[in-house]
Amino acid sequence: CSLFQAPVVQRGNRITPDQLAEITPGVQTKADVRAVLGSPTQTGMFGDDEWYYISSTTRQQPAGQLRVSDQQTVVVEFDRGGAVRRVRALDGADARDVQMVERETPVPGNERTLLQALFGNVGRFGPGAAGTGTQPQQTTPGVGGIGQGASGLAR
Amino acid sequence: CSSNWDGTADSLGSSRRGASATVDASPEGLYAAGVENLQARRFQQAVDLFDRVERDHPYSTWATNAKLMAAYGDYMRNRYTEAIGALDRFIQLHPAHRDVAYAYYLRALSYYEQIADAQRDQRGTEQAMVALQDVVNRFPDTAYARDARLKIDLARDHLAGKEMNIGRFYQRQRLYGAAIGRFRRVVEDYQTTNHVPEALHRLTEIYLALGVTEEARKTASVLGHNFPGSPWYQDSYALLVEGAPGAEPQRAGLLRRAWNAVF
Amino acid sequence: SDPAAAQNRPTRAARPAPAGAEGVVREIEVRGNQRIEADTVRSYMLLQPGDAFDADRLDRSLKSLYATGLFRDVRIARDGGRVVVDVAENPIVNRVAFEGNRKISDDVLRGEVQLRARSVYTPQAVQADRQRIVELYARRGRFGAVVEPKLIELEQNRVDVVYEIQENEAALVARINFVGNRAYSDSRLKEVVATKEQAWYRIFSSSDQFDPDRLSFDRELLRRFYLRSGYADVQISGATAELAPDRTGFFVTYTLDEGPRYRVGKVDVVSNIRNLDAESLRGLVRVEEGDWYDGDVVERVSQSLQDTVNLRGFPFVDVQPRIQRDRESRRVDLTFEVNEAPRVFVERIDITGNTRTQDRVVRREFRIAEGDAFNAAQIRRSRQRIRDLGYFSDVQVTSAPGSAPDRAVLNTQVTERATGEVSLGGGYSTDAGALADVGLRERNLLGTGIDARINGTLAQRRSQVDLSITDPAFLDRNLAAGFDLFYIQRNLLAIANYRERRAGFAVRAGYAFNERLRQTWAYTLTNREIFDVSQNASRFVRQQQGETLLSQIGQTISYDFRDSIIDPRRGGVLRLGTDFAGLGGDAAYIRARLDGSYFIPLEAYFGDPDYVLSLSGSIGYLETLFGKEDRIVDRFFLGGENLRGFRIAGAGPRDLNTRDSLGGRFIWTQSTELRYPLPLPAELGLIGRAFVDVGSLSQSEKSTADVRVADDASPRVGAGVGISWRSPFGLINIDLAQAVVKKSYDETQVFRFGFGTRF
Repeated sequence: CSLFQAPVVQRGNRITPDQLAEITPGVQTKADVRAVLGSPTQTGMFGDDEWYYISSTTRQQPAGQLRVSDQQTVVVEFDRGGAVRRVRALDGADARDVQMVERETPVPGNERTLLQALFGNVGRFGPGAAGTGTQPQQTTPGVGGIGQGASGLAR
Repeated sequence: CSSNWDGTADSLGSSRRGASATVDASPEGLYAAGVENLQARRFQQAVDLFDRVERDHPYSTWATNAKLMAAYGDYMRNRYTEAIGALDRFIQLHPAHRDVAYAYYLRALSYYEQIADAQRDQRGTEQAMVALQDVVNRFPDTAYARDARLKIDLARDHLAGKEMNIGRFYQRQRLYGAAIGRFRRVVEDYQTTNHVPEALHRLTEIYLALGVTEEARKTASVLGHNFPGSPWYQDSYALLVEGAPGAEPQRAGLLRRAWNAVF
Repeated sequence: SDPAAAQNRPTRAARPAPAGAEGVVREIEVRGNQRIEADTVRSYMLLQPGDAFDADRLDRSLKSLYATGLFRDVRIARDGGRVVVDVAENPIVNRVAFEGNRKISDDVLRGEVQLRARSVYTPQAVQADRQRIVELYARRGRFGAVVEPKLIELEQNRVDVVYEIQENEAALVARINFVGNRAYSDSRLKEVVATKEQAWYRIFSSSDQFDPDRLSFDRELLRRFYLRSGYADVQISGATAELAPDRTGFFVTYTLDEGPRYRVGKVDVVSNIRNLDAESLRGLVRVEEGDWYDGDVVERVSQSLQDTVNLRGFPFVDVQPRIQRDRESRRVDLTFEVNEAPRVFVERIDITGNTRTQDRVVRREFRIAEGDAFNAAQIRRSRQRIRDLGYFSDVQVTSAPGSAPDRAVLNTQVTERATGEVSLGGGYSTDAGALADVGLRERNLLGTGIDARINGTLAQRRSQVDLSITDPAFLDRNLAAGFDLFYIQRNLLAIANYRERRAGFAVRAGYAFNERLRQTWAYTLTNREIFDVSQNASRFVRQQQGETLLSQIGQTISYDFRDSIIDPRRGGVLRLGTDFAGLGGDAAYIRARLDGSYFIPLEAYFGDPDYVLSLSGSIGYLETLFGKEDRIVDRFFLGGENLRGFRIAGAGPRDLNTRDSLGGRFIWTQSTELRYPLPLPAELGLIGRAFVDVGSLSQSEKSTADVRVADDASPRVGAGVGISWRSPFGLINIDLAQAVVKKSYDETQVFRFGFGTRF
C-alpha cells in the first residue's frame, strides 16, 4: 500500500510532449526555445549549438541507491544562424549502463588523524585549531630571508 | 639547555623566567635572546621576548623587526589567526619596510596552512589564494612569489578536488544533470589542475549513460587530444571502442562484486 | 640616506618636467616622525621626487596621510624644490582599562572594544568604543549607564585609555496597563506581551527590565493574539512608556482598537493550474463556515496547501489567501488561490561553514539536486533534515539569483557544534548508584556522519563496557548499518538478590521506506549469566541461576511525523518492535512492543511556543515458544524510567517472601507530560516538566505451595514535576515524583537524577 512506498520525485527540467511539439526545426530561434522550454540544463561543451534538457524521476529504495526511472534527455541542435536544426528526445532505451571507474585523482592536503578529529574541537573551535596537518612540502624560505635580514643586524 | 645557569636553582627551573631575568633589558639584548629562542625552537619564549622589545622600546628600530619576528614565532606555533593579526598591523605601520615582502608572504602562508581537505569548507582556500596572489602581484620577481605561485596551483587543486567530489557524489546517485554541471566547472575554471583528465572522462561516461553519444565522442576526443598518455583517456577509449581494455582491470574485486550483488 | 630608502623608491621614469615652470619636486623631507619611518610617509604621498608640483596632488596626499589614521596632525609646505611634510603621530595605546563596571566583567567589555594594546590611538576609535559600551549596557537593560573615556599621557608618545563607567540602576517596569481592551481583561493581555511587571520572582529574568525594542515586539504579539481570536480589524495604535514620578520605574501603556469580532463566511479553494483540481485540496482546509476567524490558521492552511501541492509534483506554485470582510454581517469570506509561480531551477547548491563535517554528509540530506526545480517545500524539508542530524547549532538555506533569470543558487550556511560527548568522572544515577563513568561518544566521527561510542561505566550497581559504531548512510545508500559489542555487569542484590552479567554483540541494519516510515533489523547474540544469588533469594531466582545464551533477531518499524527530532513540538511517532528468539540459544520467545508519543503545541492558549503537551504510551507482550520457560532476564520491568515515582523494577509481580521483583510478560504504560518554560533567561536552557505516569505489569511466575507471588495487574500511578537542563555538561534530568496509586509491596522512589557531559 502507499504507506510503504516512497513518493516519486521529478528531477531536472521535464519537457512534456506538447511543449516538445511547439518546437519545429527551422522556425524557432534560441530565444523562442528559451521562452518555451526555459534555459537548458546543460549546453554542449564546445560552442552553444546543442542544448540539453535532462530530467528523470527517482524513488527512494530501502537499502539501495535511488532508483532512477523514466530518464529523458531532449537535445535541441541549432545551426550557425541560431535557428533550430534538429530536436530529439532520448530516453532510457538509448542509454548505456556505464560502470563508473573506481579510481579517483588524489587531492593533496592534510588528512586529520583520528585523535585530532575526536579532540580537535575540544576548547577553541575554529578552522585554525584543526588544520595543523603537514603540508606536502613544508618549504619556508622565509626562515632564510629573516635570518639574513635580522642576523645581519643582531651580530 | 642553552640558557646560562647562574648558580640559582630557579633559573634552571623554567628557562622562560630564567631567560628574561638574566638577559639585559636593552633592545639589542632582548632581540638577540628572542632570535636565540627561535633557533632553539622555543617559540613561546621567543614571542614573549619580541613583544617585550616592542612594548618597552617602541621607538627603537628593533621594534619593527621584533613585530615581524613575533609574527613568525606565532606562525611556527600554528597560531595562525594571531600571526595574521600581527602581520596586518606590521604591514599597515611599515608599508615601506625592507622585509615587507616577507610579511606579505608569511601572511599568505598562515592562510595557506589553514586549508582543510577537499571534503570540507573551502573558504580558507579562497582566502589563501587571495593572499598568495597579493604576494605575486606586489613582489613578482622574489623567491616568495615563486613559492606563492606553486602554492596557488596547490590551492586551486583543492578547489577542483572539491568540485570533483561533489560531481562523483551526484554521478554515483545517477543524477546526471547535476554531475555534468560540476565536471564542466572543473574543465572550464580549473584548466591548470590535474583533475581535468578525470573530469573529461566522467563527462564521457555520463553522456554515454544519457545516450548522447556524439557529445561523448567529442569529449573523449578532446581528452585524447590534450592528455594522450593519461589512463583516463584509455578508459574513455575503452567505453567508446568495443573490446579496448580500460586502464585498470575491469573485473571489480570479488568482495566489491559480492557486495554489490547483495545490496 | 641609507640604501633601503633608495631601493624602494618607485623607479618612475623621470618625466621631462618643464624647466622652472612650477619647478620639480627634488626631494621630500619628513619632520616630526618618531615611530614611523620617513619612507612610510613618503610611500603614502601621491607626489614623488621628479614629479611636477601640483597643488591638487599635494592636497590629496594630505588626505591620504590622514586616512591612514596614524597621524594626529599633518602639514605639507613647499620650500623651493623641496616638499616638507610635518607630521604629529597618533600615540600608541599602551593599556585599555575599565573602572566602575560591576555588572559586566572586564574581559566581556574588552571583547566588545576595538582598541587593543599596541594599536594606534585615534579620537574616533575611542568615541566608537564608548558607543559600543553604552549599547552593551542598553542591551542588558541598563539605559542609564554613563561611560567617560579618560586618557593618561605616557612618555615616548604612548597613552593609556581608561573608561570610567557609572552603572546606575536598571530601569524596571513598574506597571503595565491597556487602553481600549473590551474583549480581554488587562491580566489576560499581560500574559500575551513579553514585557512583564516587576516582581520578586523575576529577580533573574530580564523580562521586567524596560526595553524600548521589546515594546514594538509586544505590539506584534498583541496583534497576532487578536488576529488569532477573530478580530480581523484590530489596530494596536500605540505603546508608550513614561518615567514614574519617583523615577524608579516606567509606566507602560498599550492603546488598541479591537474592532468587531468576525466569523468565517464562505471558504473556497481555487486552482489556476492545469490538471490540479481544487476539490482534491478541499480536505486540507480545516476552516469551517461559522468558526471564529483565526489569522494563524489561515496562514497555516495556506502553508500546508503549498507544501501538499509542492510534494505532489507541482514545484512552481504560489498559494494566496484572499480575505473579503463584510462589516455589517461580521463575516469574512476566505478564498485560497493556487496560482502558477515562475519556473525557477536550482543551478547550484553550495555548502559553507562545514569545517568538520564532510560536504557529502550534508548534501545527501538534500531532497533536491542541482538542476531540479526550485521546490520550496522540499528545500524546507531538506533544511529540517540537516538540522535533525544534530551536528550543527544553526542551519540557514538562502537562495540567490543564478546565472540566468530562471536559475537560482542555494547557499547553505551551517555552524558546527560540538558533537562529541564525554561522560567523565563521578556522577549519581538512581538506577546505577554513584558511578565513575568514562565514555567517549562522537556522533560525527571525522565528519563522516558515523556515530561512534566507546563507553566504560563503573558504578555501585552497574559496570558496563560497550562499543557501538553506526553509519547512517552506508556506502551513500539509503541504508544505516552498525554493530555493538557490550559487556554489562549489574548488581541487583538490593532489588532482586542476584547479580547479572551480559556479554555479546549485535549487528544492525536499517532503511527508510519514505520520509516518515523507517525499519531497522537487529541480530543479537548475548551470553547472560545470573550468579551470586544470595540465600534468601526467591526460589524462582535460584532456579534460573547459571548461564543462558540468547540468539534473537528483532525488527522495529517506526512512523515518525514529528516536526523535529531534537525538540519536537508538533506531530508524533509510532514504533512497533518485534523480537524473535529461538534460532539456537537457550531462550525461545516472541516479544512485541508497541509505543508511541504525540505532541500537542499549546501556543494557541499560552501564546508561547515553548508550552508543549506530550501524550505517550506503550504496550508490550512476551510469549514463550517451543515449550521453553521464560526467564526473569527476558521479562519486562516496570518502574524507574518508564514509571516515575517508583524504583527500578519497583512495581509489578513480586515474590512476597523474599521481596524480589520477578518482572512480567505483559506491560502497558501511559504518560502525560506538560513542558513549560521557566521564568528564567532562555539561554540557561532550563525546561520545566509536570507529568503523570500510569503503568501495569502482570503475568509472571505462578504461586506455589511455599512461595506466595503477588501478581496484580491493577495500574500504578506516579505523578510529579521535573526539570531538564541543557547544561554545558550535557542534558541533566531531575525528577521529583510521588507514587500516588501503588500496592503495599511496591517500592517507590521520590527523587531521580542522572547526567552526562558534552564537549
